[in-house]
Amino acid sequence: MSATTVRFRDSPKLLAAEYVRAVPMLIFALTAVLIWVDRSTGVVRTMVLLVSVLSALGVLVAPIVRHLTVSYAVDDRGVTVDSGLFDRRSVTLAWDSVAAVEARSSWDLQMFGISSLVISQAADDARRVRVRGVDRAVRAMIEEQAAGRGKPGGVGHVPTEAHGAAPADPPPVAQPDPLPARSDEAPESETIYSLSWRSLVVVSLVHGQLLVLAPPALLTLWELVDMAGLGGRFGLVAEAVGPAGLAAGGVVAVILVGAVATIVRYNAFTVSRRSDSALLVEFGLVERVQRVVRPEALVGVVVQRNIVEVLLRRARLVLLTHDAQGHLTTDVVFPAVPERVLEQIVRDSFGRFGAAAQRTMTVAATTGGTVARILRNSLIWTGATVAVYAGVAMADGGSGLFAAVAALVTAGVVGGVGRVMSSRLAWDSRWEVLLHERRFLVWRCAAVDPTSVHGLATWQPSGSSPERVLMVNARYFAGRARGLLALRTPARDVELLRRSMTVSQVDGGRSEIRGKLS
Amino acid sequence: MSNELPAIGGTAQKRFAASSVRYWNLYSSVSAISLILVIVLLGIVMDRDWVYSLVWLISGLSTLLVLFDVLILNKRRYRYSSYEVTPDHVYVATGRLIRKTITVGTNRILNVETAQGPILTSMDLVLVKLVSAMEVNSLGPVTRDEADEIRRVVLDSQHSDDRAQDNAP
Repeated sequence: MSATTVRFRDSPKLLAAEYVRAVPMLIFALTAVLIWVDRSTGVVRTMVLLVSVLSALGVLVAPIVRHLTVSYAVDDRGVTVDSGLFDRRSVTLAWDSVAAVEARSSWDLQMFGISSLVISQAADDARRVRVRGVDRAVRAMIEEQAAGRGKPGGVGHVPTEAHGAAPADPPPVAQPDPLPARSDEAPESETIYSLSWRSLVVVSLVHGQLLVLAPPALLTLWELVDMAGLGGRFGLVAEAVGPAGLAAGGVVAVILVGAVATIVRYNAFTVSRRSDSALLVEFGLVERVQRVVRPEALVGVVVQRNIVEVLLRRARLVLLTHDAQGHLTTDVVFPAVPERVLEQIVRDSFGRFGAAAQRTMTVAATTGGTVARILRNSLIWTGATVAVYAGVAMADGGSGLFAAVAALVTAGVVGGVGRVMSSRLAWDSRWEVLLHERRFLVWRCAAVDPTSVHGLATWQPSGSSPERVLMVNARYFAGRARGLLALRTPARDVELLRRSMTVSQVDGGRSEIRGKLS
Repeated sequence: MSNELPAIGGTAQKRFAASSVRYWNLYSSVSAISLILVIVLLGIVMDRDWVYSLVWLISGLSTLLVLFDVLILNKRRYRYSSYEVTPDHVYVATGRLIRKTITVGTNRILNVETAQGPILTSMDLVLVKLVSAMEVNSLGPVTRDEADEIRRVVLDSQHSDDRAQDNAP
């Protein structure tokens, strides 16, 4: 670490936030245990009491121990996290190898104005470190360092060595030039996309959030009604409104629940382009997620639209990045973007990937037959699933559980086969990207950088000419191993891809990948 | 060795070790015997008529499959499998009815590992695992000398790549 190493611990506010989160649950659990203990006797009672008290002590003491034993050091080369009480560990990530910094502020952290950061390298087996609770100034400093912009000397008021008993460092190697004090201001940014709450309601309907989120929410609601002893009254109301009214009420409730859940999840969804070309994606009400996507981490983009989105002239945009999913929960998704906005975003921000995917989408939309094909495939899939369920249920004549399992298996198998059969892979020579298009249940186009492909498998009938390729699977890396599996690929494009994979060593392709994985 | 990439589905320059067939035969037999033993133990523990019927059925099927492997499949598997590792590419072709080929740029391989179980040890053969980002492609069994040669080609390729990187303006 150099002379301008900034050392700090988690903010003391994190202790308060952790207690705010843990204590109510602790009180609830202890109350339950005490009620149980009051009714029991013997050794088991003593043991349960002992374990409960020790667990409670653990919950209370653990945050303090963590606060005292975890320390961080940031300099212009990387971030180091030292941790452990007896078994000390030290993990260092060089800024050069950091693929992403994601900030998260759950409700308890938001109460105290702090956030946690996940700093990660590419690849599933690579390192990541978590800075558990820092204020805005430290967060800005780390994000600047990760973006390759700032230097620790530039952030004047972050906690320094005076706060922590961090381990001693070797003598400084070089004295970096400090930047002018930046206070806690974030890099300048320009908003390129945001969603209002009205748009979020549309997103909820378009993405089918109501189908995913509403059933568990309604079940929970029903349980609460039942626990409150209102089941009888509900029965009376149901009798009064009749089956149609009840169904209508159910639909309204499902839509409301889906919309509220979507708004809570994607609240104030904003995408900004920073002055350092990185994209800043922010969303969430209860937990505010902020994620910086650096241009060099981009492997490709996916444009996807279901039938509703086709009809509403919207599409969702997914960014494939080196850090996606493997470490950071999920890909970056721009939900239900209007076509004209999408066109502008991909043209201005995602270069050749966006241009290729956008052009494919335009071609698919103007060629016609896309909606018909999606509908036909959806009908085949739904029909097969329903037919198997009905057939097995009739044959079994039992509870329907066996039929449900058979239907699920059918849905999986038909879905998998359908996805492959409706896929095609092509080399777009204009933009030098791989295009993977699929029309099964949804229309989906992935534009992927060919240099990220690290393996290619082909299947073909024996004795056929090399021109007849039966199936292709191009394996590439975007946070985890992914594949572009397609049944239709022009042999010329397969050959182009094979050649591109075997000549890239002259430009240091392997070194680049190794660097990202190290 | 030529750096020319074989056509899709084409045969590569090298074959696995000649004793691969014997290894696959032994492997098939040991796997089948292990399966039959487990099934027989299960039958004894459960002690039901239908379980004994199942034991006979699975044992019979396993024996048939092993015979098919030993008499026909493993010889064909050897005949139609080939590979080549050059400074540019790794190419593996397998399969008779449906030809499967795998192409990986040598520059994408991060590490070369060798694996050797008791059967392979007794025959002085190894399986080579080519580790790239998030994926492992296996080839073999090959002789130990051949495995060393594969490792050498891949590592040499990495060194020349690093030199190219260092010399880049």
